[in-house]
Parts: sequence; structure tokens; C-alpha cells
Amino acid sequence: MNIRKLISLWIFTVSTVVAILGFWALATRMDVEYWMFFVALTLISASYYLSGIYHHMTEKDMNGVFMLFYASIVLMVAAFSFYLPEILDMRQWEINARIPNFFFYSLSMLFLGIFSSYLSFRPFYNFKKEGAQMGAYYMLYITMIFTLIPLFVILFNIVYRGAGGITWEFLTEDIISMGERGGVYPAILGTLALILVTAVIVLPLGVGTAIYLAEYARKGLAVRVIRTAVNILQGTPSIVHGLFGYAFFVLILFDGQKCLLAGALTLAILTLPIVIRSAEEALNAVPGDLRDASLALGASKWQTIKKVVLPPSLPGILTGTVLGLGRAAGETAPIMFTAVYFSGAGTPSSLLRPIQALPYHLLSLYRLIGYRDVDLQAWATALLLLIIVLGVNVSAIIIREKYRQRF
Amino acid sequence: MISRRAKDKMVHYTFFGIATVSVLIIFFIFIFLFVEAYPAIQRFGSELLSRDWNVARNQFGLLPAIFGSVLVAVGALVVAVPLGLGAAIYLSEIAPNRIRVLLKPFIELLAGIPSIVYGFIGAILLGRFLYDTFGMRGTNSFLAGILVLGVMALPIIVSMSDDSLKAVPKDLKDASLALGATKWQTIRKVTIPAAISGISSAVIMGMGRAIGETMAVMLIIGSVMRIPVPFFDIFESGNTLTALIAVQMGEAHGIIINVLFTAGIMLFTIVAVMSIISDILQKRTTDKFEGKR
Amino acid sequence: MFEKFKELLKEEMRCERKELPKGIKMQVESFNLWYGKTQAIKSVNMDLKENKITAIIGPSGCGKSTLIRGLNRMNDTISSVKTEGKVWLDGFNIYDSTTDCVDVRRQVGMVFQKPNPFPFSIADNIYYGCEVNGMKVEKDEVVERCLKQSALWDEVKDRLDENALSLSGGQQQRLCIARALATEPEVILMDEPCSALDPIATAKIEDLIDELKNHYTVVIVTHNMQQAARVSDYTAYMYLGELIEFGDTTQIFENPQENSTEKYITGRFG
Repeated sequence: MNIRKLISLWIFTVSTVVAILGFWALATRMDVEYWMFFVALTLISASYYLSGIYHHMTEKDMNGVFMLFYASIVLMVAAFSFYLPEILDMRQWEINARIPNFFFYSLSMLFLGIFSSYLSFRPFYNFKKEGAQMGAYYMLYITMIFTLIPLFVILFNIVYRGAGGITWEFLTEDIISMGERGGVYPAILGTLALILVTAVIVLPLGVGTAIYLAEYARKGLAVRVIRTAVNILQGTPSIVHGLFGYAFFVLILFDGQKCLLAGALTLAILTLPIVIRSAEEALNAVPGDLRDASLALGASKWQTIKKVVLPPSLPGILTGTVLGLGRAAGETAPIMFTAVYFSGAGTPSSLLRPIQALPYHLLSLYRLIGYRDVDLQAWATALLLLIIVLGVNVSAIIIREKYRQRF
Repeated sequence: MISRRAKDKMVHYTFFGIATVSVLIIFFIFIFLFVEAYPAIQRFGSELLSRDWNVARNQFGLLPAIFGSVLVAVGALVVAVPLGLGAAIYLSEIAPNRIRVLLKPFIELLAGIPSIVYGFIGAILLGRFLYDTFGMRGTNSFLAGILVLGVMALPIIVSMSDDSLKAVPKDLKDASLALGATKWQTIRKVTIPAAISGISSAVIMGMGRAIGETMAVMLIIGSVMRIPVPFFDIFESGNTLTALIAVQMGEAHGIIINVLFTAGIMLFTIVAVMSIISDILQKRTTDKFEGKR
Repeated sequence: MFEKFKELLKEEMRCERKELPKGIKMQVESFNLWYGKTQAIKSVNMDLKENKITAIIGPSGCGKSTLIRGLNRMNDTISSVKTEGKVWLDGFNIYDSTTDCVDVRRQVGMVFQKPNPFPFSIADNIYYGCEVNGMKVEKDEVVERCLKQSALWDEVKDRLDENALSLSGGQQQRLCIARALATEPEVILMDEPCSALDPIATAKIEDLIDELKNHYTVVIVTHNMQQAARVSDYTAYMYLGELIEFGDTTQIFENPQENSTEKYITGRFG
């Protein structure tokens, strides 16, 4: 048995347990007592003292001193935290918070725990290069886990709280008594109608523009300016699109009347840059040699595009379009002033009539929470919206993976 | 029967026509925004940059909203950049292939969740959690906005940084390994510096998303037009440009609409500058590996 | 589970040792290598003599690049690779479980097919190896020594801070050689170092290789038989993962023992 490695492993275990406890206490707002915190940190500190002394006895270099130093810092943090008041009232410095001491305890358990387990890789590999590497890898695993945690929290909560609300009635009825009963049938149809009309508007426009840019336009200043403009439009916040849609489509074109068409036009402008860019990327991925080969065989330019360029780039174009439409389906800001009502619009019947849509339905229900009993309906709407949007995205990813072309 | 040549010409002009329409629409939007914002700029001028907002008294100072937008965006980056970069390095350099193909689409899904859902969950769960933990005056706060926007910016940062790390040629990594560097030294000293423009571009795009986000922020930040005192008091509620537009547009009429367009122009300008910088950075990455300086 | 745990805590064992005959720097002993299920190297035995140049020739896909990458464990970077057998370097087996492959790569430098300088300055490129290995050396001295050794000093001494990618292809390749020299290796492996270069740059590199053999043991993989004949002292001919013939370069080219070697050298296939 190698005692150095055994001690390091012990440090790692203790620190990780402390970190997990700290995280758990933080998430559940557990009232961590001072003595628990003190014991946890003293354990880590003692392990580091042990490791440092052993290292100093066997190797006699500065690394042992370094570990003793770190152990002392941990011990000092543990000791000085004794002076934390039960509730730190930040209002004395005009900051609007009263932070309880257990928050500090669990937070420092989390961070010191992670950092101590990170450092324990160094003595394990006897302060060689490999120790730094494994420590770094460990930290990267941790960041990966913390990146995934919010996703799981979101998905878990929506499914757990929303699944009970998805009933036959919910899917097939209109809103009854401000959303306390009834369902979202018109809103589902409204969202679908919105996507459909948007697709009809944006597909020819976006793909046509992309074909022109990728195949016909000479690469010069004009194309660079257009491309920059497309990029900027893509980055423009969706609320600005909503603002434009309201001021132009609703107020000027449709005389103050919210309607399906105004919403779809706004969403079309929102998705246009996504479609143009992804279609152009897909077209540019087809190598130039193929075009040259086809042209050299006497095909015309249009024949070349139709028979050689479009078929392999079609999956890419489709993926981009579907992703764009998926985003449009979940957007609220562009439609809330151009197309939707919370209730009373009914199932979509005409392009010039307002509709109901799922994202706006969720927003309206959220605003009613606390006044009316709509919690379950709201969670169910969130779940349904998530299923629809993620379903669209998943199908786009499947298209991409299945028909991926390699040149 | 039309000749093949004539048909070719016709198709060419059709596509030219479509492209022209698209381009005209895009530029029309840009121009329309400026035209609609102009009356407010003309009437209020530099008052629009003051800190006083009072609709009843016709005071339209946008400074609190600008401040809020910047604060939440910077805060979101503080949350998202360390996590996102770590995850991207893990995915592109360390993760075994089967874990990578599992996690990458998962992270992309995170980007697909509609912002209203983020806002809903953030307001109900996170807002409540922070309220209980920190004993604040209300459930709305900058802190909640920062945390939610940080999570929303994560997928962009992870996915774009991962792409640019993956784009570093294997030759370079091999050269470093062959000189006796460990994998981690290679990542730290060769792969990350080589991908740094792509990574910065990812960070900028993440910030762009944070600044442009509307629904989530609107539900959790509180829509109070006030700069907190002291300014780093993230436990206060506040407002952002996007939330301001979303909240005010409902009952807006007359000059307020023009003021909101001015706010739109500001957002638009910030995002435009960021997207241009990001493009330049990405072009620099490609140039670097093609041997140009 | 418990076995793995014990393995983790095991005391470091002393590495297995073997005295190599005098004048032999590296010895490959029944070396096998698989990519997944395909065997790419089939029990190769070979002695590499100190301060000599050994060339490995053979048709494309015969495993010569794989073999040379096996000599400094660069194949470890590909996860599907499995190896068997031993490679002795100065009496230590570089495939021993206790050997650190990162250490091996410091002692056995490598130059790749395509010039691959880092997108840093010329000086930083050379100093990189010293930096990652924690060698306590004066940066200016190392840079000057290595650039002089690789006959690049006069061409670049005024622009050491420029990006290495601004050099021409041939200069870049000599910079890569200089970079490999900085970690004070004992053996230098070259994987078709001239395949991406024009004839003039190639000639310069060949001169350089001839210089290097005074201080280092050089192994070079090449698909160019004239080059092998020009620069090497010993030549190995590989075919389909097997070492067909190994011997003095003049003997291999003038009097090959194996039928297949003769066919390849006279250009009848490959």
C-alpha cells in the first residue's frame, strides 16, 4: 500500500462528501448549524495537515509546506466563521438582503469542498505534471455537471408539475372561467396555424435569397453588406421585431386590428435570417468541383443547381428552416402585440382574425397565478409548449443526423 | 418551348428578384425603426439618457433600463462563461465520443426551450427561492435575472466554443504532445490560445442573447424604472430595455411609442456592434489556420 | 472493483531493465499494433543504431508511419489503438506500465509530415517544449542554439517575435525540427518530413538531417526511395505491416535479399 495515495484518496472522499452536503444544504435551504460546518471543515483541514506532514517526512520539499499552509487557511475560515451573526443584515449598507449564516456555511462547504478535492490530485500524483492534469479534468467534469443541473431542474419540474394537468379536456376544450378549467385547444391550433403561415411566407423568400447569394451573386461588397445586415437582423432582440410588427403591420397595414397574418409576418421576419444563413451554409458545403464537373458536361447553371447542388444540401436547408420555425413557435414577444388574445379568439378561421397561442397563454396564466386557481393549467401549458418546441427541434436534429452528407 | 439559355436567364432573374425583396425588407425594417424613433429623439434629445422616468409627467429617461440591461448581461456572463467554457473544453477535448454525442444535442435542446418557459420557472421557483433565502423585499430581483439569463446564455457559449475548439487542427495538438506536453498542457497552451477568437465570439453571442432576452427578464426583474443604490445591489428589482418595451407597449400611444422605438434602436445598435465584432473574430480564426497573419 | 482500487493505490514498481548491446539506441522487440480489430503492425523486430540514420520505406499503408509513431507512443492519442511487445530505449521499456508516455516523448522528438508550427512567435515555438517540461533554461540561449542547429538562424534572427506562420513551408519545417531539438531529445523521428516541400527546401532538410546525426539518432519514414538512399545509413523495408528486410542501405538498394524488396525498389509496384 502506498500511504501517500491512501491519504490523498481520503482527502478526496472527505472533500467531495462535504461539497455534496454543502450543495444539498444550499438547494434545500437547510439550516446548517455552526458545529456541522466546523466539523466538516476541520476534517478537511486535518486531512491536509496529515498529508502535508507525511509529505514533509518523506520528500522534504516545499510542497509539504504548501499543503500545511492550505490546511491552515481552511481551519482559519472555519474558526472565524464563528463570528458570523445569525442573520447578516445587509440593509445597514443599503443592500436589500438579509443573509442568514447557514447560507454562508453551505456555500463555503460547497466551494471549499470542491477546491479541496481538486487540490488532492496533486499529492496523489506526488506533485507531478499528471496531478495538475487530473485536477484540471476533475474541475472540467464539475463544470459539465453544473451546466447540466439547470436543464434537469427545469425538465424535472415541468414534467413533474405539469403532467397531471394534461388531460383530454385540457387538449380539446377552450378556456373556461379564466383558465381555471377547460383547456388550450384553440391555442394549440393557433400556434400551429402561426407556424404554418410563417413557413409559407419565409420558405420561398429565405431559400430563394440563399440560392441567389450562394450561387449567383458575385462575391463583392454588396454581398458582404447583405450578409452583415442578415446577421444583424438575426441578432436583433425578438421584442424589437414585435415592436416593428405592432407599429407597421398592426397600426399601419391592418388598421389597429391584431391578426394571424400580422403575427405570421412578424415571425417570418424573425426567422428569415435563420433560414437564409442555414440554407446558404448548406449550399456552400457542396464543393465547387461538383458544380464545375456538371457545367463541364454541358449542363446549364440552373440544371446544375437543380440536379447537383440542391439534392445534397436539402437536408441542411430543411434542418435550418425547421429549427427557425421551432424558435418561432416558442416566441411570445413578437406575437403578443400583433396576433394574440388570451381568450375569446376561438379556433383560427381567417388570416385577418386574431388567434390564441400557447406561449401567450402561458404568460396570461402566469399573470393570473395568485388571483385564480390556474397553477396546474399553467404548468401543463408549459409542458405542452416544451413538448411541441422540443419535438420540432428533435426532428430537425434527426433530419440532420440521418441525411448528413460528407464530401 | 423556350431555349435552355433563356430559361437559365429567367431563373437567374427570379432569384435576383426574391433576393432583392428580402434585402429590401431587411433594410426597410432598419429604416422604419429610425424613422419611428426620430420624433422622440427630436423632442427629448439628451433627456432620453437621463435617469427620470415618469409617464404622467412626460419624463422618458431610459438610463435605468440601459443600466439594467448592461448589469444583467454582464452578470449573466460571470455565471455562464466559467461554466460554459469548462463544459465546452470537457466536451471537445476530454469526453469519450459516446458521451459527447449524447450531451451535445442535449445542450442544444437547452437552447431550444422557449424563453417564456424560462421566465415562468424562474419567476415561480427561483424568485421564490431567492426571496426565502435572502429575505428580500419582493420576489423580483436583478439576481434572479442574472441567474436565469446565465443559464440561457450557457448553451450558446458551450456550443460555439466547442465548435471553435474542435476546429483547432489535430496537427497542432500532436506537435505539442510530441514535445512531451501532457494533454492538459496542450489544451491550456495550444488549443485554447488557438481557438481564442472563436471563444470570444461565443462569449459575445452569449452576451447578445442575454441583452436581447425579453420574456424571461420581464417576468423576473420587476419592471421598476430605477437604478439601485448602491448600483451593485443585485437584490433590488429593476428594468431592462427589452422588458421596458414589452411592458409599456400594451398601453402605449402617441409619443411613448416613439420613445420605445428609441429603446429598440439602442438594443439594435448594441447587438449590431456585437455581431460585427463576433464576425470579425470568427474570420480571424479561419485566417489563422490558413496561414495568413 | 476492489482489485481496481488496489491497483490505484499500488506502490510504484521499478521499471523492467535490459542492457542493450553497445551502439544500439533503441530496440523494437516483437511489436504488434491494432487499430480496433485490424492489425497494422505484425511482430516487428528492429535495432536502431546510435548516431545513425535509419530510413523506413514501403508502399502507402504498409504501416511505416504507424510504426514510427509507436516509437514515442504518439499512437496513445488514438483511443482504439492496442499494442503488444516492447520498445527499449537505453535499457528502459517505453511501453512498461510504469513508464510515463509524456516523459518518453520528451526524450524521443518527432517531426511531422506537414509543417505544423504553433500560431505563436518563432521564439515561443522553440521555447514551448522547455516550458511544458519545466526545464530551467535561458530562453534566448535555447532559441539560438536550436535555430543554429537547424540552419535557420541566419534567416530568422531579426524576426524572432514574428508569427511562425509567416515563414515559408521549408522554413516552417526546419522550425519544427528546431522545436523538437529544444527538449534535448536523444532520438528524432521524422514522418515523411519533406513530402509537402519543394525540391530546394527538401535538399536543405536533407543536409540538415545529415548534420543532426552527429548528435542524435534519427529515424526517417519516406516514400521517396532516392531520399532513403541519399540520407540513410540503414534501411528497413515494410510491407503490409511486416518488416520484410532490414539492413545496410547500400546492401538493401544494391543487393536486396527478398524478392518483394527488389520489386519495390526497382519500381515494379508500390
